[in-house]
Amino acid sequence: MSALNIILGLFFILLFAGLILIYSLPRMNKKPPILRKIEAVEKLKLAMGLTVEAGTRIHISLGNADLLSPYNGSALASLSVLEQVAVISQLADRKPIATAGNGAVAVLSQSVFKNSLEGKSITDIKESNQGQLAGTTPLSYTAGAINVIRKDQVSTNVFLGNYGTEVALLGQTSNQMKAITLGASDSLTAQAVLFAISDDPLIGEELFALPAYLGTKRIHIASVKIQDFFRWVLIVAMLAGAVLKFLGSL
Amino acid sequence: MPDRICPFCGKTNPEDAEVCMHCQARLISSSNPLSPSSSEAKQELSDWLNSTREDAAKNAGLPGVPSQTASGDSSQENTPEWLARIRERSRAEQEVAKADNSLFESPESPAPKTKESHPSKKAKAEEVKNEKPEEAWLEELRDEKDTMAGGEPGKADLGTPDIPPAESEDWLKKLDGWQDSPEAHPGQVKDEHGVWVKPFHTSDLKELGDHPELEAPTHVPSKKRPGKKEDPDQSWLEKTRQEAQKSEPPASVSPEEPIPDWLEELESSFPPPEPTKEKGVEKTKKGSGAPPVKIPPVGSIPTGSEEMPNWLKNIEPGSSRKSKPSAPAFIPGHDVEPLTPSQPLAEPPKEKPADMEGLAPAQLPSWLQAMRPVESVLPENLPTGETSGEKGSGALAGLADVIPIQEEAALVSKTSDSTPRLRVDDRQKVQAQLLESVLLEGSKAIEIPKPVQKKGRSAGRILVSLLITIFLAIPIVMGSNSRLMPSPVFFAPETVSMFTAIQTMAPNSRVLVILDYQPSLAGELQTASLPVIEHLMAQNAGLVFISTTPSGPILANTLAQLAQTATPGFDTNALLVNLGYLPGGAIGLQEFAQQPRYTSPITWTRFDAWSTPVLQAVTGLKDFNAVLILTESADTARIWIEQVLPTIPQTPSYLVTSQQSAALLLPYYNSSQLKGMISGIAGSKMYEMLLSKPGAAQFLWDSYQVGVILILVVILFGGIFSSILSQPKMTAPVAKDETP
Amino acid sequence: MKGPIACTVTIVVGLLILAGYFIASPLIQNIRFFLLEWAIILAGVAGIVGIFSLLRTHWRKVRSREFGSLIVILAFLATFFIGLFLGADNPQFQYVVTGIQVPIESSLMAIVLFSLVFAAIRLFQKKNNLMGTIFLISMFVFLVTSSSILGMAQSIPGVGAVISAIQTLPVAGARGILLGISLGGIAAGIRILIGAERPYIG
Repeated sequence: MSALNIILGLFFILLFAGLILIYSLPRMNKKPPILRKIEAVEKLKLAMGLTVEAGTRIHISLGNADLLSPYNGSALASLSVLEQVAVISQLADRKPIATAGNGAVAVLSQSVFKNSLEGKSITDIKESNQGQLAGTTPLSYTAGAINVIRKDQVSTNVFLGNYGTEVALLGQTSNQMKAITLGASDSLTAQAVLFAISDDPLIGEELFALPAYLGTKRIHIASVKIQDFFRWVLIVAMLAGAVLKFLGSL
Repeated sequence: MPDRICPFCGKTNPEDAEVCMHCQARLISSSNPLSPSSSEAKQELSDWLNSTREDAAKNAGLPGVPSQTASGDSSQENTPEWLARIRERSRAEQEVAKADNSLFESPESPAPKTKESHPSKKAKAEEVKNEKPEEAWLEELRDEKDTMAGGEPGKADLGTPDIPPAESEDWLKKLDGWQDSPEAHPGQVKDEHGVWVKPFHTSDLKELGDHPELEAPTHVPSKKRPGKKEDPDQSWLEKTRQEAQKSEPPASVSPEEPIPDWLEELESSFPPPEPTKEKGVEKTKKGSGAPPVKIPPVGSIPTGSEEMPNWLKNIEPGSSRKSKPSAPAFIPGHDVEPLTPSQPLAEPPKEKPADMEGLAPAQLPSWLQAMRPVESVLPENLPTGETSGEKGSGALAGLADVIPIQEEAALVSKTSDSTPRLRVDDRQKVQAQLLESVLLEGSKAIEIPKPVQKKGRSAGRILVSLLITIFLAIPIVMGSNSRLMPSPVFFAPETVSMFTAIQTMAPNSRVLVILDYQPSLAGELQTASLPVIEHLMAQNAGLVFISTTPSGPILANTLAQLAQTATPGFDTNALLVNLGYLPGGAIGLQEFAQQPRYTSPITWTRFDAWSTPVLQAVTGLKDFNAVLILTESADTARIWIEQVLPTIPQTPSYLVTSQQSAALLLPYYNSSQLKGMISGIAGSKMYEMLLSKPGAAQFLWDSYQVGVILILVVILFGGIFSSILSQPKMTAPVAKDETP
Repeated sequence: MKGPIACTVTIVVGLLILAGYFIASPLIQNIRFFLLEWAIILAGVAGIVGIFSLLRTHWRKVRSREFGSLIVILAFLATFFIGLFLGADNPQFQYVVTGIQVPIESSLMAIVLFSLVFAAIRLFQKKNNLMGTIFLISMFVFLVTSSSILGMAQSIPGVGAVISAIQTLPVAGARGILLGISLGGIAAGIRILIGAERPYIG
């Protein structure tokens, strides 16, 4: 790796982290954040409430992402969303369930459920199978998740994480069970499938913005702001590079 | 300038104040009546009082003060109505005051004692009165105070009033009148004893029964009751007198106690009333030199033995206890019946008590009527009048009709949780019953019904599935003889470049084959990668297999066996190494790229990998002649291309992937990061055609092409058909049923 | 007490590995590799923990009279012990993968084909808007161009260029989405690095 690459990379990481920290300060968050309306998020909030009222379950599918892979970002974002959902839904008659296709993510999901109960006056925490490893391969995970959707009184299915085309089976099963289906993935293939299968898909980086929409933590809102900022930086850089290359070729 | 003292509250006010700042009472205009130096004000006040007295005397026929001349006559002629009313009222009050006892009764040591013991005081008082009549009453008050305090008269430093006794009398009457006026008691009404209480409907009290101590004071109209005279100032006085007869003075209160300052101010602001001739009563006359009025301590007012005025005699002691009880809204300590929708609410009794027959019950508004508590609120055993009688001990000893703290405190018990009955109409009852039923149903667990799938939808699915399956199976059943679909004419450049690169590869080259596809897509990837492996085996290239999936080594072994079958001359023992499973995903790849010997020391058969002829001279990835990636996932391919291949920029890389990821990975070929690429069955078909060696791709080509066309048709027509079926049915408007 | 320690370890280790990616110091590189090896081992252990959690879930279902889970448990135990005793290179053991896992997963993937077809059919009803229409049109176009149906047409010079240009269109959109996803992944990772998110504390 060249020295320039190293410097640019370090500068980018430090700038990203610094801006997130600065924008998460209370001084920078005096006004409520203005986030664009995402229909899928509104529907997710409504679905969570309806599920709790109806006495059914919410199923959060965390995908096949491995924490050691470059796609662990989607797994981490899914765990953030799971935390928000767990806090809301833990008082329901039927506790939410999370399924994962990776052992480490399954263990973390159990930790998230346990963490969501701390500080709450909830005595019944015996439902320890809330975070499950449904399978070790994508198709075996799909088979295990289908079993959960069919048999555990699930009325809302949220597919978050890294998937392949097998997510179509999950969505079809969810539709057959007349459940609300929402999906977000960092995989392009899965996004295309979720667009056709789910009621309201989330495209692209909307998966990473979900924690900011569902929760009120300043750090999540700051992350969304900084992502937008750097997106514009990249757009300008790419356009400038294309223009310069074009001019150079003349 | 001296401050003005309010005659009602006794607090000081500025000189020029006309209204008291504390109690908002109107102060004497233009001058402080207590100021000895404002002679002009005294003169004005005298004129006003004289005129008032003159009018009253004329009306009453009493000898009055010589009236004014023309101004008085003219004032009479031009008297406004309000003034006439005031004069009439003052006349009436004068009559009452004449029959009034002295406001301040003497203690057990009556006037004669003061007269005898303080003759000098009397003489002095007479002298003061003769010289300054307006100061007589004040002097008397001062003397009386001294007597009460046990000191000599004349030592109390009281302000000398400016008002003459007659004027003070009127002033006092006005004060009494104001005290007895409704303005002084907002929101209250006068009961039969003249006590101001908050209004309470008597008809509610009739339900309570005979509870003398719970008397509801009713608003007595202006018409007086026969046989009773309203005198609020005397009613409590009588009570205290009676209580003093029954009880001993408390030890804590001694006559010897000094008079507090507030009492002094009160004495100074209230001139003594006109004394009477009744025995046993403190006689204070204007200028009589009688000792000033002495305010006895609480509970020590003597009663009973002295001769009482007629009006006072008419007030029976304890008569309030015998009167009808007044029922409060809620009585603590008594349980009430819970309100149930089925129980009818009790209606209040409509009979009137005997002594209230002459009164018409007030008409309550409907909202107030609904808030009325009914008899179920009230306890059955209300405390009797004896319990609320005279207090025997404590600070309120000797006083009757006070709040019986001790007795009723014992009756206080924990209030019941039930709510008092309210007036509920039929509609509200129905709503309450409905709510109750809803709440009861909500506690029952409802079994969630399983979703019922539409029958038509399953038939359509079965039909479409069968159609696709049959059309896909026909070419396979027909075998390699099928020529349903034409072979590709246009060869993809990435496929051609890959073929060219392998074709020109040097013999005994080392190729790292990364097998990274899932068992679910083994059919397509195996079909697509088999001709490439066969081509490499035909070139006698050394193949080193490694996988990042747990089932990868087995799939690699299967692929190698299939390829060897088509290339019998390939020495698998010397030219084939399977390094097995590489854990850690992308991290493992990076580690393998930098330290392959350390990361994968043995083969999947547990032999030393780096002692084989293929790997003996290999120290790192840079020692390999080519890298071939077999994966169906675009993400996995990107990890390899972006994470590992940059470490070996001189080593050419090739990719075999699924048709679904081809479009996403083609830019890597276009950017020369990949030297060749095969995508799916179509790419494999082209490669086989280039090799001139038909294989599995040839076998599946017709089925593949037929399937693609069939799916396009099914989606197109099925979508149009389903969208037509999903349209809402247009039904004719239903004609309104016109019934006669 | 567990929370601050875990958070501190996470932050320190994350910063070391990040530094090792950029800084070529041998000491930091060695520490980075050491920590990565620990991470790989822990990932494997986490996989084992997840498998035991799955077994426990199925055991609970067996106790609640769901006997399908009993078959799952028995199959797991059989595969485990056969592989333990015979070894991964034994042809009989390989049959477990090639004869059972591959056919089953391939069948499931075939069902995915039907699911996608039905989803595409229902797309006419579900998303009857501009985005849905564009999706369907693009689906048809790329299905045709990538399946070599127009193989003969591609040999025509003009048509071939157009088809090649059309095939590069999804790449442009995909690249934009991938950039946004990368930024989101960076933000998620940085939140873990600075300790703002702690899913590991439970």
